Amino acid sequence: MMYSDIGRLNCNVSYTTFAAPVRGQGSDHKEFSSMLHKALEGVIILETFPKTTVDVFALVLESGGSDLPVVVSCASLALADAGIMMYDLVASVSVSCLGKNLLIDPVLEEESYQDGSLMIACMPSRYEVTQLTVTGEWSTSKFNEAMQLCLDASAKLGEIMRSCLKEAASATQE
Amino acid sequence: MRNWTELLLIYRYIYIYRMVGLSEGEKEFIKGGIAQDLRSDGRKRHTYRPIYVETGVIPQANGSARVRLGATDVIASVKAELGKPSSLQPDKGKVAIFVDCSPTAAPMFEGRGGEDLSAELSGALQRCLLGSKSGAGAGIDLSSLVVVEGKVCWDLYIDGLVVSADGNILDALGAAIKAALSNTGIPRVNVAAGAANDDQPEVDISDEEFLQFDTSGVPVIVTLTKVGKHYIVDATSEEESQMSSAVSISINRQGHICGMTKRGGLGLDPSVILDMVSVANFVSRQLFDKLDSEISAAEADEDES
Repeated sequence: MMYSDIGRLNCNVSYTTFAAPVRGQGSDHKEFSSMLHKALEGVIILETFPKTTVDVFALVLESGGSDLPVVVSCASLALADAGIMMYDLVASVSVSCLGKNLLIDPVLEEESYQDGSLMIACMPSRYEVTQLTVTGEWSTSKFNEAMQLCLDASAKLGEIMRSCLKEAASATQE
Repeated sequence: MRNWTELLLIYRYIYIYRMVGLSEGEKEFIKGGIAQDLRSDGRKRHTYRPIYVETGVIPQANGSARVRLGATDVIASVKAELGKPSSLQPDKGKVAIFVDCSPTAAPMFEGRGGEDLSAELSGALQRCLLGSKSGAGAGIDLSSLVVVEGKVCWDLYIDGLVVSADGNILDALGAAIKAALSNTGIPRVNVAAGAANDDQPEVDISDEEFLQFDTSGVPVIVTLTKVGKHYIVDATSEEESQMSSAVSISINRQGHICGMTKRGGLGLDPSVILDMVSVANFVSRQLFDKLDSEISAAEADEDES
């Protein structure tokens, strides 16, 4: 592999064969790996480990909707647990649009009937968005509303993730 | 004296190979130009390169188009085949989008280098053009592809080929697909009457009568690339190498967002994203007019020849 003066990030998301209601359906999530990579690459301070690769493997045991946001949040917790230098945690949340209603953290059934979806990965303390995908038709006002909803939710999720890490750290010290 | 095209080719060749590493001076030049709203090719931040559209380039396909944006050159083809609708959505046809990056398009595509980009582009185009799972917000009207509900429908295969890459491939592919779809004629199908209800009905595909595809709902894709504090549209690959992040937004005629993908790089402030959406909205209107006139000119050209 070529020499690199900054670290490399390598992400892989896979599904177990029994993750989806229909066996082996998880294989149509090929782009999740690159989406996870995008969500994380802006957060990790790659300059701090030259000539090194960080591998992030995510395995979805059971798919119950909002898979990618969970994978992203989980991966950032794992990176923090591994002691990889990061600017901030990444908290990720998705909303589905059904008719006029916005549903946060949709389950699989809701996702299969959604008219649109919006997924955000953000750094709660820095208030920056690292990954954003939108499908379906959105008016600008609806988009604003959904994005604000996601950002507020990820701020709350960030708090929980932080306290979770603190608990784990104090537990190992004792 | 050598002729101009030859010289330009050599210059281009040197440029591509230098692209791998720009010098500090060149980087500063690109960034400084963008900050002063005068880019290295003389454009402003929100101006596209001239777009050239050619339709009907592949006779074997039901519709095809070639779009050139500066040195970026892409071809899109649409093939229609009769298939069976899925049991979950019996009243809808199917559309699949695939993108292939030619290994000769850019040095980084050699070997397997183009595969990741191909997958990323296919995913982004599917998000931007096919709408959500329920089919709402789709640029392509899937219910118009049904021949007999639950039995026969058209499967559209949209293939994109990147022939030459000089930045902003996604916007060019979006434009090429829009042009190819408006060039697409779907044969009229006559269903034989009197078939039993549970049988697969017999169909007769007409060679002469073609139905035009309605492309008024197909959105355009505008990619905003952030370099320094500002964002630009239609970045060349030199400019893309200096980006901190990029957001691709697909917008339809009504000014509604039909899909969005953030493409790598650093984090963005939410207010910047909202601002990008309004800029993209403004730029998309000009792009729509430009593209529509180019497509109709290309169609007229094709009819003459």
